[in-house]
Amino acid sequence: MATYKVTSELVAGKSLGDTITDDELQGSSIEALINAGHIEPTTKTTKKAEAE
Amino acid sequence: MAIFVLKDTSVTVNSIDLTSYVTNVELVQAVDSVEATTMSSTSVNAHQFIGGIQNNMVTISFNQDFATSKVHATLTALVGVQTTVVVKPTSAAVGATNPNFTITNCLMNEYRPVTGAVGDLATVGSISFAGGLYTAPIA
Repeated sequence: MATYKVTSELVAGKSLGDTITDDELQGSSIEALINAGHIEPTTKTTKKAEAE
Repeated sequence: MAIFVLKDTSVTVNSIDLTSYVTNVELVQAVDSVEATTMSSTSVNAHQFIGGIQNNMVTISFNQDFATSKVHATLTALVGVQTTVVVKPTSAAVGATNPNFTITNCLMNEYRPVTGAVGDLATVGSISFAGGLYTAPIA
């Protein structure tokens, strides 16, 4: 399950800085939301990166 | 709910709450009329139709806002992209008297970012989201 950080004040049911999942965005175009600046992908820290 | 005046109809496009920019909204629940008339010596002299597949449409007018992540940014990214539009009669909680009219997988194929004459408020010409599946969940 992918998660995204909310980067605008207009995302329905969310506040700026909240996290939203792709399940919550079902039926919406995630690419369009990213292009419009409403959300951005959250970067996951891998175990390999943590070890370094 | 008794009859009421539209004041705070909630409009969400692609999970973005654009309610505060909407000036007009029209949701049409429709199906195609499919001709089913047959040769018959006994039938009435009239076409016969049966209901076909859904042919829904949501048409919305917006005040324009070119600021970051507002109306223009939201809509221009959706041209030619399937999305979901949700219209709720009022901003109150969803229920039997306030259904969540939802059109999923609808398409906006045209967007007019600048519309109006000198002295007019900057608006988005009425845009339409066509097709998609209609539902009206109450929970």
